[in-house]
Amino acid sequence: MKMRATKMLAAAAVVAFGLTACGGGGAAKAPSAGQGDPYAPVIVEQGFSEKGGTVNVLMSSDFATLDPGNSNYVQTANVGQLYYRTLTMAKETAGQPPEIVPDLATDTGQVSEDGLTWTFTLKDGLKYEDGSPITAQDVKYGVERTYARDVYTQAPQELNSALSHDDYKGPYKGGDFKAIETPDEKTIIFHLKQPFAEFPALVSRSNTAPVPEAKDTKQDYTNHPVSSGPYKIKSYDRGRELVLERNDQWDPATDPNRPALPDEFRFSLSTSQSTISQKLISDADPNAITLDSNGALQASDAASLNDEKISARTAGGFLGCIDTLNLNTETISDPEIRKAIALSIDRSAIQVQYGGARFGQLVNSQLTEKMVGLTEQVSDLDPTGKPKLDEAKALLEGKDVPKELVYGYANSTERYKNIGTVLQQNLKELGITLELRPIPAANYYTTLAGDGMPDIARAGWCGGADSSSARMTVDPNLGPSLDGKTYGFSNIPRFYDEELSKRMYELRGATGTAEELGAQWSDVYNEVMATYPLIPTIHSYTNSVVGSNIRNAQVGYFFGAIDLNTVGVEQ
Amino acid sequence: MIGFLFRRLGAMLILLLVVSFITFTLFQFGPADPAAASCGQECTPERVEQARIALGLDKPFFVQYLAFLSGLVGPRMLGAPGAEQVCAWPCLGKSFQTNENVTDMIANALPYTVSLTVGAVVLWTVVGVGMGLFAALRKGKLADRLIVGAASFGVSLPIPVTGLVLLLVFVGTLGWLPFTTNAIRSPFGEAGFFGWTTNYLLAWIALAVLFSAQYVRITRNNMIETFSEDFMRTARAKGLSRGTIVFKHGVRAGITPIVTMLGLDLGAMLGGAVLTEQIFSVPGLGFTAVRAATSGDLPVTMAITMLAAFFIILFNVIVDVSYAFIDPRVRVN
Repeated sequence: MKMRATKMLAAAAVVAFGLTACGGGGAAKAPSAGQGDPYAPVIVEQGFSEKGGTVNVLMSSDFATLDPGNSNYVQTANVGQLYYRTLTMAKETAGQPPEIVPDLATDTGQVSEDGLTWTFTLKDGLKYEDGSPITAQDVKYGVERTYARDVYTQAPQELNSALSHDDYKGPYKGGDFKAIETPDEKTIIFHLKQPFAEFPALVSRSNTAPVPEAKDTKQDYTNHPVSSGPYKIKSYDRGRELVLERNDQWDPATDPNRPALPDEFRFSLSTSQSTISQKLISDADPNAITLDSNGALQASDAASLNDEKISARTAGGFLGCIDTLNLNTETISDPEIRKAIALSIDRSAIQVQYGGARFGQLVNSQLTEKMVGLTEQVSDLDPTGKPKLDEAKALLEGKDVPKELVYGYANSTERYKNIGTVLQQNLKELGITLELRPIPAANYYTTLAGDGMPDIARAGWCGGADSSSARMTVDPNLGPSLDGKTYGFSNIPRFYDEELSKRMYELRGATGTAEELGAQWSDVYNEVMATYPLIPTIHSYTNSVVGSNIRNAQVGYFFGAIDLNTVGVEQ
Repeated sequence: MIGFLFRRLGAMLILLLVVSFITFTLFQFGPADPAAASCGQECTPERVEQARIALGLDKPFFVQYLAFLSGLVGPRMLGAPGAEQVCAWPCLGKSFQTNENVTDMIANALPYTVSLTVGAVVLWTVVGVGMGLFAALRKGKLADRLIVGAASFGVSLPIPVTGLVLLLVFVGTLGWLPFTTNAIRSPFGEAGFFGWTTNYLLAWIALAVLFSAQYVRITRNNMIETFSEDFMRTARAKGLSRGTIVFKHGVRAGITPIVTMLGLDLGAMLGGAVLTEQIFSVPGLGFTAVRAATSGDLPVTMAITMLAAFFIILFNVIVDVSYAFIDPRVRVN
C-alpha cells in the first residue's frame, strides 16, 4: 500500500515536472536571428531540393488519431498533409498565416452570386495508394463522416457549422447529405446557411480529405487511412512507431504544393520531452526533428539556444496562437472595473512565466498585422507590459469594486498557476483578493463554457481555419451565438452587447472583398476591446532545434512545429 | 499445498473484483469528465453528450460496470449505436483517447516493464544484499560505515534526480551509452542481449541506487541480528567454516524478510515504474498509466490498475509459498 501511495505521488511529481519545464525560469534572450526584428522567422538551411533519406520525428506521445474525419489537432494536420489531400490546402510559410491554395481542386472555388453556393472541380489524374481514382463522391463521404459525432468525438466542425442541413446525423444513420451535391465524379457543390467569405479556408480542413466508402473501417480507419498524398502508411505500432513511405500512385504533376523530399518519415511516439531536447541539442541523431510543442525544449535548455552551433540548427517563428486573460463579463459587468483590472496587471511578469521574450512577444491585441484589412487598434495597455496602477486606481474611485475574485487555471501546467500568482499580487494593489482555483485540464474549456466559469481565466486562440482573417479570431472569441441572441459557446468572457454583438451577427453574412470584411471585423473588435472583456498577453514564438542533416526546417504558423511538408534531409 | 493455492486464488479474484469496482467508482465521481475531454476546446454541450454516447458513458453506473466485467469472460460490443465493433475476449475496452484496444495496449507495454524490472531487480538485489551482508560482517568498521552512509545517501535520492543526472552525464555529455529506444523490448530481439542491456542500463542503475540502499539497510540489520542468535554461536562452536556459517546457516535464516520485501517490490515494479519509465522514455505500463490517468482514459486506467493489483497479489502468494522452501520452520498451512 505504501508503495502504491509512493507511486501515485511520483506520478504526480513527474507530471508536474514534465509540464512545468517550459514554464519556469527567468527571462531568456529574445530570438537573435534577424538583427532588425527579433521575431523574424528563421528557416534552417533553406533552398534544399534533394530527394531521399529518412527523417526521424521524435514525439512524446502518439497522435490522438490519424483519421482525417476525427482529427481536430494541429499535430495530426501536420502529419496528415503527407498522406491526405484536401480540396484546398493551407500552405505554410514561416512567420506568416498559411496561404490557401488549390489542392485536389483546380482552384479555390467558385462562389455563386448570392454567396450561398460554392463549387469545386477535382483535378485529373488523382489516385489513392491502391491506384483507384479519387472522386467527388469520396470527398463528400469524407465530409459526411464528420457529422457522425457520436462515432467520431473529435470530428472537425468549422466547415460543418457553415453548411446547411446541420441536423444531418452522418452516413451511418442519416443517409444522403443534402448540403453537398456531386453531379459527376469531378464536381462537388456546397450549400451554405449564409455567405462565408473564408469558405476556401474551411475546405482546407481535414473534413474534405477523400475517404472511399468501401474502405471505411469506422473507428479503426485511424490504423490505416487510405492515402491520397505523397506518402502512405508502411507500419503503425500504436504508441511506439509510425513509418510513412512514398506513395507511388501520387502524381507530383497534380500537386505543386508538396515537395515530398524524404523517402521516409519515421515517428518515434514515446520519447520523453527531456530526452527529445537532449537528443536534439547534442545532435545525437542528425536526422531528427520533433513535433512537440515548444520544440520539446525545457527551461534549462534556454542557455543552449544561445550557442552559435545550436542556434544555426534552430528554426524559429511565430505561431498563430495568442494567449489572453478572459474577464467574466457577467460577474465583472462594469467595463471600467475590467479596464482597471487590465491596467493593473504586470504582463511583463506574465511573459517571464512563458520562458521570457524568446518564447513569446507581448501583444495588446489578438489581431496581428498579418491579418487582411486590419485597421488601427487602440489600447491603453502599456506595450512593454508594465502596470499602470495610478490610472487603474483612478478608474475605481467611487465604484463598487468586488473584494474577492476567482482565477481558474488548467491544473496540468504550473505556468498557468504561476500566472495566477502574478495576478494575485497585482490585484492586491486594487484591494481585490484573488483565489486561485485549479480546473481539471482535460475539462478546462468545457468548464469555462459552463457554470464553472470563474471571474478570470486564461485561454489561447490560434487563428482558426484562416489566421489571416480577423473574423476567424473575433467571432469565435467575442461573437454572439448562432441565433445572435446571446454570447457564442466559445466566447469565454461571455461578452454580449446589444449593439456590438448585433453588428458581429450581421457581419457574418456580409459580402465584400477580404480587405473590406477584414476592416469591418477589425473595427468592431477595436470597439469591443474598449470594454476590456479580455486582456491579450503573449503571441507565441516557437524555437525548434533540428538535427544537423535536416534541411528546409521551418516552424509552421498553424502547426506550431516543424512543417513536415517542406522538410528535407541531407544524405 | 493445493488447497492453500486454491484458497489464495479465490481470494485473489475477489480482491481484483474489489479493486476494479473501487477504480470504476472513483472514476465516476472524479472531477474529470472523459466525454468533455474527448472532444476538445470547441465542444458544445450537444457534442459532449454525443461523445458520452460514443464512449458508453450515458448508461447507468452498474450497467457500465457489468458491461466491463462481461468483457473479462467473453467478447462484447463497443461503440456508438450504428457503429458498434466486436471487442474480442479478453476485452478490457477501448481507449477513450485513441480507440486502441486496451488488451493490445497492455500486451505492447508489458515487455518494456518486464525488461526494466528484471534488470533492475537483479542489480539491486545483488548489490543491495551483497553490500548489506558485507557491512554486517564488518560491523562497526570503516567499510560498514561507508556502506551505511552510501545507503542513506542513495535512499534519499529521488529517481528524477538520479535519472536525469545519469542521462546528462553518460548519454548527453560523455556519449558512452545510447539514448533509450522503444525499438528494444527484450534481449531476444535484433539488438541482442548487449543492445538490450545498454538500452536499459541507466534506468536499472537509477532504480538500483534507490532500492539497493533499502536492501543494504535491511540486510545488514537482519544479518547482524541473525549472527547474534544462539544457533550461530553453536555453529561456530562446532568448528564449521566461515562460509558455511554465513551462507548456510546465517543467510538462510535471515533472508526471509528480504524475500518478502523483494516479492512486494517485484509485484509493484511489474505494475509499472511510473517515474523511471517517464524519464527514460520506456513506454511500459507506468508510462501508459500516466497518460491514461491525466487524460481521463478510464478503460486504460482500469486495466493497468487491475494488472498492478494482480502482480502484487501474485507475488504475495509466491512469497508465502517460498517461505516453506527457504525456512523449514515455516510450513504452509
